[in-house]
Amino acid sequence: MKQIYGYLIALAIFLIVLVFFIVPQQGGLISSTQLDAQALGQVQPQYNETLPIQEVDISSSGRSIFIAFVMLSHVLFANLHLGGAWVAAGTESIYLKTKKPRFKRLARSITLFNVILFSAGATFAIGGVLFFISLFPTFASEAFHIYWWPLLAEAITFGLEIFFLYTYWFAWDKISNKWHQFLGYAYAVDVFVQTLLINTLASGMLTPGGTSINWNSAAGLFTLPVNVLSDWWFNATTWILQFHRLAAAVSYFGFLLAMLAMFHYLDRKDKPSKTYWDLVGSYGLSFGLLGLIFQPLLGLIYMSTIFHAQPGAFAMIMLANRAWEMVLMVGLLSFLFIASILYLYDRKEQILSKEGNERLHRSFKAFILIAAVAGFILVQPYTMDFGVNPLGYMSYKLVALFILIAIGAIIFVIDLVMLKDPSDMEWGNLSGTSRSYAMIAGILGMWIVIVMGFVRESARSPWTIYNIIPVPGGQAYPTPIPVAQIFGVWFIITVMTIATFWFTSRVTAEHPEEAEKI
Amino acid sequence: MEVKKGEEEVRELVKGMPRWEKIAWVLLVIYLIIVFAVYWYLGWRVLPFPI
Repeated sequence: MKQIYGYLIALAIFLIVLVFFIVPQQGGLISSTQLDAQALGQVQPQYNETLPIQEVDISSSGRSIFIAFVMLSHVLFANLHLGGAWVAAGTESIYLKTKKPRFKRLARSITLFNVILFSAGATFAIGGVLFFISLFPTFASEAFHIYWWPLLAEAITFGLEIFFLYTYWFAWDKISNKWHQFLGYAYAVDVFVQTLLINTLASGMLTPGGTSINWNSAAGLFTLPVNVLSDWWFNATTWILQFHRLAAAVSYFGFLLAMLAMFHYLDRKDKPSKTYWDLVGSYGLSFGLLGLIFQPLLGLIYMSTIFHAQPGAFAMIMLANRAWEMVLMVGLLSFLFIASILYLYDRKEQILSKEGNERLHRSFKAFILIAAVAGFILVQPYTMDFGVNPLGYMSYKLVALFILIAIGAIIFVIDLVMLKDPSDMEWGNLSGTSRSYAMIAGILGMWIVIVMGFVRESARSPWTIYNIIPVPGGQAYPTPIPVAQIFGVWFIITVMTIATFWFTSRVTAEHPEEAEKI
Repeated sequence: MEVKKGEEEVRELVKGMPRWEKIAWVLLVIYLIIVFAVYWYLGWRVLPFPI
């Protein structure tokens, strides 16, 4: 257990150094509204808010905090479907192939979990729309006009999601396996399309399809020429954001599953349940790692598209005042990789310490050390007030990221191999260390998702549509949300969602009644 | 001598692997090559990172 304290202390030191040293050194306390004052002064007059600013009585960032709270919470619930639908349908497929009851039990638990939490995700989404209209009316009217067709199509896929998800759950064991699998995968594909449609807007706010908005003078089905609308809908970052989000959602769901499995492991006293939830922990972690190893690759391509479409936003988040957010991102990513490796190392120690596995054992130890060094390189900032940090050069970071991906991919395959033949291990006898790392992985998986959302939002600050429509209110309402406040928002969201997920999971989880053959 | 011994060990290891496991390792190598190529091209040559 001493090791886990070391890990937590390292994580705490990283966050403290980031907030109290790196953020001020990188000018992170200066708002983008102040930095972009000149450009804000040249905004076309129709995009300056004419309605009075609706205060929410929190602070000058209150409106942005409202949006951050509902939208980041929404993403955590929406990703249950974007990632979880594939995990549920895929787990049922494994059950149909292997006939092992634990996979059916897990697929059913995941599906009911998503059925119950569906309304929470939808509520936050509707809250977001309400807040956009009330707090940012000029942006809302322009954006909803440009995106009328994708948003209408999104509403239809929303209806289809309800149909597929609910019939998938309620038709279990009542229709043929083939049709049931069709419903499961149709649910997953539908959520994928739904996310793509909403991503047309989310990506277009950062990389809009034009430099201005010139409406057709006449009414019609298309209020802008079709090719112009198409440029907005399928802008430079639509597709890469979509796949980055998919990888993040699968990863998030996997780590969440591992975390909830650990909660159930502690909650249940009987041996069959402990064995089952131990297996679910390793199973969830595999999905977590699968999504995680794709994220740094997709992330770099995403950065490249932002650079070509909006070099100013790229410079802001990679090199200038918001670079600390990327340091936070890769820092959390590194800690997540390390937590996964440490979990697997501790979990599989029985196998690793067997005679004949010495080389694998040594490899795992080397992976931990190399991953820690890679993480240390990745959290190095580059531009600082006192000058340049020589350890922060990108060439080192690219190598470090590549190493983390390689190690993550190797241990993912090792985990798969061990899960395929689980009889070698004693399940249901987890150490406190393994449990702790799986829980930490769940929390970090959530944090990566919400930090990513914030990075994209603050990259376009002080604009709601980059370089076209500003956040209304000018210097009196600076954006992005200051560091102390956004950490507060993240903390509240984390506590709220973990509590919601755990209490829901207690109702939805099915436990084995008797010990099953591993 | 050491290298030869290592090669033999790897060969033995691969021989004993089921087909799906071999495919997983091959996919992993292909993926890492893709990552390396993208990182090399975008990271070093295209994006204006302080290298």
